[in-house]
Amino acid sequence: MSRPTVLPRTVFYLAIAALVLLCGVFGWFYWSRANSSPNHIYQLRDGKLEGSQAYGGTWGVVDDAVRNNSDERGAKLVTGSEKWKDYTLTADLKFDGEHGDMGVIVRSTDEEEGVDAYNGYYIGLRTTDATLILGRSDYGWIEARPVPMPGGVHAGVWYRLVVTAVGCRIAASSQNLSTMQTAWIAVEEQPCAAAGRIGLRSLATGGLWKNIGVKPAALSDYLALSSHAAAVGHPEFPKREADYNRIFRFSPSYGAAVQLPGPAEASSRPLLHTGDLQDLPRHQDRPVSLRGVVTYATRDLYVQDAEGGVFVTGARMPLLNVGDEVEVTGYTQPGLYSSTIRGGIVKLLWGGTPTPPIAVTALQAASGAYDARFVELEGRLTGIRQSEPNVQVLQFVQGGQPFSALYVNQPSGSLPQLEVNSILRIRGVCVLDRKVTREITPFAILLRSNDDIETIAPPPWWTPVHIVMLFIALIGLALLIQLIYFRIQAWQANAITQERERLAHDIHDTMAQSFAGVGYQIQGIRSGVQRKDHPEFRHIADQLDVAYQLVRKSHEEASRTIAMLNVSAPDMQNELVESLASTARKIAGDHIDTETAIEGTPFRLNLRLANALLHIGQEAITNAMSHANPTALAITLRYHEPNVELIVEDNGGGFNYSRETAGFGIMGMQKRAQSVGGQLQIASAPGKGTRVSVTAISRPTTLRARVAATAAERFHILAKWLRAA
Amino acid sequence: MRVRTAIGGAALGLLAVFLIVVLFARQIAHPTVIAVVPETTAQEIWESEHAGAAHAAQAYGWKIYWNGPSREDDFPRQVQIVQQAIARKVGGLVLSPDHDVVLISAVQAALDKKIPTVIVGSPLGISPGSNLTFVVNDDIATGRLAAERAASFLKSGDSVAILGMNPNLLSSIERANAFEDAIEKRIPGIRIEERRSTSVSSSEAEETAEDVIHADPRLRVIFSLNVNQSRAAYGALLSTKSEGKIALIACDQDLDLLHHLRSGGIDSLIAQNTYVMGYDAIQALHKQLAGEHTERRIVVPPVLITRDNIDSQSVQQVLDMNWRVQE
Repeated sequence: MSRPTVLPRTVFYLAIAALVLLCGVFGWFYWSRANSSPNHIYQLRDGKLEGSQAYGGTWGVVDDAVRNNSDERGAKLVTGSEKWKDYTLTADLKFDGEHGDMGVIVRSTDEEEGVDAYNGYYIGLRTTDATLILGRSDYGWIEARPVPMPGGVHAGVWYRLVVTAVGCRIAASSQNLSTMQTAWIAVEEQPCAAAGRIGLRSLATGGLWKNIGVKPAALSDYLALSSHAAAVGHPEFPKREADYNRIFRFSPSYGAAVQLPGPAEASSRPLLHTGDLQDLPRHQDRPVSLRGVVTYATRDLYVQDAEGGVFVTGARMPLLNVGDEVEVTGYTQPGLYSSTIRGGIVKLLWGGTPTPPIAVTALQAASGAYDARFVELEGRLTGIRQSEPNVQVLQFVQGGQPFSALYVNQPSGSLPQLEVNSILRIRGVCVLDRKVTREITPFAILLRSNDDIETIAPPPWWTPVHIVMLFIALIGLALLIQLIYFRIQAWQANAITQERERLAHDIHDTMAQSFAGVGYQIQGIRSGVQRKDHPEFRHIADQLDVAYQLVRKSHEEASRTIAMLNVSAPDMQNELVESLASTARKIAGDHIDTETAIEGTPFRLNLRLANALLHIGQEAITNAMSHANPTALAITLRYHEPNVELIVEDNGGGFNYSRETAGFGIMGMQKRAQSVGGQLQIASAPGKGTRVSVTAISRPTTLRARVAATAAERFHILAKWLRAA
Repeated sequence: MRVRTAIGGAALGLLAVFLIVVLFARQIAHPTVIAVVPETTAQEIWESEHAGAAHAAQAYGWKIYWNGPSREDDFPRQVQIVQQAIARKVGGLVLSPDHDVVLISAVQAALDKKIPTVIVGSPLGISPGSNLTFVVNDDIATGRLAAERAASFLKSGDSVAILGMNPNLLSSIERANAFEDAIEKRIPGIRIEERRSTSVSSSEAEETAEDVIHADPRLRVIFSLNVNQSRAAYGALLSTKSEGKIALIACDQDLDLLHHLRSGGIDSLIAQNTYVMGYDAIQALHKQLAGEHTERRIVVPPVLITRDNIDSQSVQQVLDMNWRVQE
């Protein structure tokens, strides 16, 4: 077989590599293109926006809209892919109150909780100066010149925001869906945030978003919006105070009484603090007014000031959010741990920032000291159940103190994935009212949204199921180790047996054959004496000398076999043919004509192969001498790298050879050939002599060369297979 | 054989270089990050610190990580942000603490991780050291400036109110004490009403201010110690129709307060030079990282802002909020 030249093979491999590379590049390109073009109308599944992640705020779903029920500054709800590049985002939004900002985020990455803690663009409506704003946030805020919104920005009105981002150009429009008045803004920025997620964001107000959709956009979409804008600006404010003061239209006042005059009864009573309420006489409703921050807002409220919290029920109130600062006027009776204000009016004073929670232990919470206050505590989740429609109850224990957390007015499935026995940190209003706790636990925590639940640690692995699984695994491991031990023992026994067999073959091939030769010589002397043909003493002496040589040879063979147990004979591989010829001469003397030949370019054989060839050759010669009475013997060693072939051919009597009837000697030769990966062939017929040949591949002589050769061989086979395919 | 070996070797070499580039590109490409954590990111006073820090960091090729709580009393969130910054192995920390005690352990954790730290604004309740520098406002000067300004509206027998004293912030106490000392020396017989509050609730602060205004008809000056209290005091002046009768001297700058100052609702404002603090904090960090001698306590003088000087170059420099450094 002709060896392929290096160049075509190299070209072939390079072509394969180029093909693989091309496929990879094409796949990456296709994948990135496929992921960079969003096209989606968002569904509100399980009470939340698909695939969204909240950063601050109190997010939930009301009917067909996403709601943030919090005045958190910079509350964000982000969804989509970081790879989205050029797209148009559409969303309708409605403010809860007359303060704050609401809008959407495009091309957002690196989001964290914080006012401007994301990298992307925010486009929204700002109530304080009634403008449409567009700016860049990069853990800091910088905006383009805001555009006045015709008709102003008001609570309770739906506005439609359309934002198109193409390349480093972003344009947006805002339309009052009641009056259809519209404002446009356009911005270019170099360099820009080129890709990112979408999101909803509010600052210091709560509100609703609905009809949220995103689709791919082209330059024409951008131009369609930007053509309405007065100019294409770029993010530049705030610079210095004077610059900002010139462009920003501040609202007239932040004063509560001036902004939102309440009913006369609200200001006719002296303001109290929540701590004062507990000092009022019991069993008598007293009119009170107090101010505080909303910590929980549904149909009823929890309001907190510096001294404590209070439950407000049955009051007339505007739409309120967590963080709103309010003035509550109503009738109260002190409770055990906190007071309840019934009836009356709640007046919105300021849009604020939600109060941070007080970290408490379950024991402290159970003491009543934090009743009606916004707290944070940790506990191990022991169970989740539905107590009544739309009320989900999480059961906890901390330090032996059980408590529960209620998630009210949320459909089942709206809870995040929670595992029993995990450690959770929850935030909410602490309530000891027995109507809420149902006397099952000392206190309960009223949760506002999913964001009030944070997993601190997953369940421990040492659950009963896990322990059983571990036990089973350990048993399995022990059985496996036992199995491996037995296998090793079997391998050892097998190795010993094989070694014994090898020794048996060695003895047979060496000493036994020599003894046979000795016997052959003695038999010759005996035959001569019996025939009374008066052989010459000299001839007898020669035959005895041969017998002596054979005995000496046996001694050498025995020494060599012993030596082979540890070290290989160094000369064996170099003088193989000569050794075999010498063997033949020693056995047969001058009776046969022995010819030797070496064909091809000799190369160094490894020791194991040389040893095997020597013994196979010796066995073949011995068999010929013992059974075939040949007159001529040819020993040929043929080199054809990496193959080597030994041929021992005689012109003796021959025999009918078959594998089934092969004797111990032939079997030994076959085993030796197999042990070096060779192939033994015997050709013989009665009267036509015998030809024994063994062909084997000469393995490289060093380990490194052997490993490299094996790898090359496998690779060659693979290449051959590929070419055939 | 040699050709194949050479090609294989070259391919392996290229692969190794590619892997090294991929693995270490992030480290090579990313500069030192300095975490700058203000009291809150919701007030423009700290945007000036952001601007100062960003401009100073530009010279060293450092990147600023800027984030803080959304309100100035949310110290649990501030602790969390500092811990996250430590976990990210930032090159340095600049912190304006929301609480003079609670933040000590977080700062100590940063120092234990060999992260050089600078405290900006209000001092922390521990002593500065080799790796901890204070760049703080001269609160005594703030109190004295306010007293000097207040004295022009007061005579013996009049009352002055100090609102918004927060025991959680040492700067608040220092300002109030300095103001009291100075005003009592300047106008003997002056009556001082002092109200403490640990809450940043605007409604409570406004309620407190209204109470003080209603309770003392001789009140002529309100000295409010922080942004939130100043807003609330301004609201109370409006709601009690006391503008023009009572002078409001505010501490710490914010855009709406400065707008009210321009429109006359607020008499004057004593600003912290947070721009310089941010700038000096980065310089101090650089010295710490370079192993150079660093002053342990750098005191930055405040600036009195009135309608007369608000548009001056020096005052507008203090009110620079442009954190975006031009490359």
